[in-house]
Amino acid sequence: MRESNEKLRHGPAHVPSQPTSVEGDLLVRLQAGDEEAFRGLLADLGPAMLRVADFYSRDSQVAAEIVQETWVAVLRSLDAFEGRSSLRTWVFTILANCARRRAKSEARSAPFSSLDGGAREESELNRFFAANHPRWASCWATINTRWEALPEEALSRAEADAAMIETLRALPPNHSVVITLRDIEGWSSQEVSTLLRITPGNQRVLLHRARLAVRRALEQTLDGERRL
Amino acid sequence: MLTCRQIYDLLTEYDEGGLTTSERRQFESHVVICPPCRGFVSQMRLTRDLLGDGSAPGLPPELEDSIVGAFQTWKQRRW
Repeated sequence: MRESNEKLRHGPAHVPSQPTSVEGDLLVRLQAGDEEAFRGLLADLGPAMLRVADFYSRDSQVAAEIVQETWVAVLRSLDAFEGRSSLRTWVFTILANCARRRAKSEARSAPFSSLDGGAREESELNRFFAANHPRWASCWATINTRWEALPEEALSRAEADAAMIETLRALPPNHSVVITLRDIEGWSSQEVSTLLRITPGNQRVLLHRARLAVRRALEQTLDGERRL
Repeated sequence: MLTCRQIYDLLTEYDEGGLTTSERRQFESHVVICPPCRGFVSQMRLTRDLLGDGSAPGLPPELEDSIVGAFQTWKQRRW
């Protein structure tokens, strides 16, 4: 699968939130029409942009169109861009405006994804003793193995990546966008809340639920491997 | 004293500075004496680290091609 083999960044995204001299060089190359520089920028920002667009539109085709429209708008203004904000901030601001406009024209005043973290049944509740248990009220009913590092003898890095990618794809868009921006792209809590116009508290709830889902997927993959 | 279930719900609040000083203290004093919660915390931390250090779903190839095509058109015509 092409996408799962695509190694992305380590820690924060390559394109920083503040303008830097490296970014100044990138901007000069982009303005000169350097396709390699453009492809690099697209590889850096594109995946997270699609997650943000998914957050605003239920329809994956519309989300793809939002990303496409954003890049067209970016190119139209590229010559005039002076680098007062970072490229990343500028591109994502255009994206969010474009996505909100589309969402509005689809007669929605807010992203379709509810911000309460979703009403999905929490599938791990059966891992706790009941709240009225005489001795072990709300205690774990399972032993949780400590994960100091990925047990590579049981689960290879590629298998772990595949499990995580599959989970990210299946997450509700509001969970997916927050965990992508925070944990994969390295954005700050403040940056994510501002871009998506959600409260820091909502952002934490969404991040928590998304991390729980990915952790669960890793655990299931690990258990599956161990049973073999 | 917090329950394991509350630790499960509050971990990201704890990590992100969303708890009061008193709640933080309760959180820490539970985790330090509770092996299953220590296991859970280590699992969530490793999950976060693997995400930051790994792969992510890329753009669909046709979307990528279409955007690069827009760039090539822009380059030729400068709109």
